[in-house]
Amino acid sequence: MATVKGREPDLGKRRRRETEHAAQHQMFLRGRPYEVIRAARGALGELWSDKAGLFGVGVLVLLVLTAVFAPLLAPHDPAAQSLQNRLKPPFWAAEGSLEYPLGADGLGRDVLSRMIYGSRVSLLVGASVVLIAGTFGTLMGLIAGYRGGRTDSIIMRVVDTQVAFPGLLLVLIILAAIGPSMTTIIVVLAINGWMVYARITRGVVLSVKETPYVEAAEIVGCPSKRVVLRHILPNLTSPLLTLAVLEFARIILAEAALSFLGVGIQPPQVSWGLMVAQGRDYLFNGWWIITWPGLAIAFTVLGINLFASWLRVAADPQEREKRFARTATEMRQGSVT
Amino acid sequence: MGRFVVRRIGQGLLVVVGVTIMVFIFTRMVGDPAKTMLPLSASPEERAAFRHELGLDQPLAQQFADYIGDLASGDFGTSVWQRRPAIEAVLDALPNTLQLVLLAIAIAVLFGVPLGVLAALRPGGALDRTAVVLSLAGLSIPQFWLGLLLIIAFSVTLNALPTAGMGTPAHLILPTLTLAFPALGRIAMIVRSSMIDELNQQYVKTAKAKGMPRARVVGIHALRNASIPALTLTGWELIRALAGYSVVVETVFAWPGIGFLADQALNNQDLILLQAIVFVVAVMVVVINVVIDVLYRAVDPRIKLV
Repeated sequence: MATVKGREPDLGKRRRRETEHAAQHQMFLRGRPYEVIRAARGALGELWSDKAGLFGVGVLVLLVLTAVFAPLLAPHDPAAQSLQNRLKPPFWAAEGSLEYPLGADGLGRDVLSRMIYGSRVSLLVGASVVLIAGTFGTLMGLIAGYRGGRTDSIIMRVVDTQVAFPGLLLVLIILAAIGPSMTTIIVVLAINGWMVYARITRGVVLSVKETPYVEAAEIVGCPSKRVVLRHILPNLTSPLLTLAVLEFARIILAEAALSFLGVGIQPPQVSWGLMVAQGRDYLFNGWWIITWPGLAIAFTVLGINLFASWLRVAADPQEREKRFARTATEMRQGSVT
Repeated sequence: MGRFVVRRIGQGLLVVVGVTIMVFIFTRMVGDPAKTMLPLSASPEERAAFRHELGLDQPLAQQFADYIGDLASGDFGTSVWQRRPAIEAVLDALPNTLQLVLLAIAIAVLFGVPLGVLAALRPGGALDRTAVVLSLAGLSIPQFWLGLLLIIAFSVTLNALPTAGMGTPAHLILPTLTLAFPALGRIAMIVRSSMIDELNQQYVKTAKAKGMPRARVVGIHALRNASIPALTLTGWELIRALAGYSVVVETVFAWPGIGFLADQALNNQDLILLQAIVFVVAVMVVVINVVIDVLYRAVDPRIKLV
């Protein structure tokens, strides 16, 4: 290997830096579950080398900041109409102006401001649904897996039935029956999404339940609540974390589609999907009205997906083990030859 | 085999029943059809008459029994909006949806599988990276937006294709592409990853070692084993296209299928029509699941259908 000579001193420095970082994290993470310490320690250092993951984290951070500071960032009131500015193109076009950087929609509302406020809805709906569906699904999976027997078969039968009929159609009819609002969307999407968590949780519980340490905990007389929460649940950190992030992306797409169809977020509230729906009438003379919110959805979902694939490796002790072994072998080979 | 199909259809019926019960719970117990389906200006007498006509003034148990009885005898009620039996409206629109969905999934498989195989032959190569980017795009781009962008590009700017409706083959192009794109990416990715696994197996090395042509090793030996996950995903894509994506895509292109019908029923507060659509789609989902299970057996004789 050509780089051996230059690599040796650098390696020592890197290792020292790594130990220092590790010590700092140790302080910061004291008392947290083992997986989290482990994941965070190596993962943060590794994020820099995973450019796609870095991009994902960047998008997410930007999104959260935008949503939190929306009133400070938005140049206009997202609902303020201005008829003389209707259908104003983005600033670089001849008739455009910097007052409406990304143009104005058919009612003369600022597209950029509406996009900034729209991020709030996406994040709020996504986070709430993931939280509700994730908690309920995990709980059901824990019960099914740990109890077994009839409880298990009833829960899993419900899961199977619901999984077999996916898609928007069932959501649509429920929304049509109850009437759309932000709360309804969150509840309906949660009802439609808890099964995946239950399935994964149950699978992990079934495999962990037979391990010696769980049996030992049961033999020494741990109450089952403690066995489930302290001994079994930590095994689920990595798969559930990854799943939750992926589901977050799916929910954002679903909310956008529902709002686009008119059964999601209702005006005067702002949502990216709704913005695209409102821009449908201006395809011929206002391409920007649908383009920007669509791009916002696409980049958000892309960022979250990339973040999830980084997280999958970073938060899984086994995956990290593998990666560590690989680098270790490479290093050893590098220094020998 | 016969017994297997019967059993799977039995399990499928459970799905249909489950969906029906869910629809009943949400339309009758959580929501109030007399409120959603009548205009705001309706008088209390009109509402009462409407309730009586639909049997909503009966006890819930009685309502449920009537509901199941009606469905079992093929009576889905009369569409309030179209003023004809709901099932008729659904069955009229169904062929259009099937045409669109089947064509889109066929395109996704025809292009996705070769793309996945070629990407797996050289992981990290230019083609592989193209495939990964393409599938990530398919995963992230909202379908309704993709459809509108295609309309802007091909109908508004280039003036080459019609924006909406059906009739000529040209009408099919944009909706099919929109529906196929995300599925294509996902199929390519799953074929890619399972092909990479298969190509590292011993039997592939053996086949190569004894001098079998590469095309045969890859295209027949490895691909056949890699096609089980791809088959599962294709069935899943078909189901999702029917039970969800078609609503969005057909609405964007005003394609007169059941998805567009569902959107219009939604705008007209026609719960009865929506119920009929959900029921018909549920039955088709069950059929697709059984067909996929039987196909497993055809692809991999090791799988026993019991």
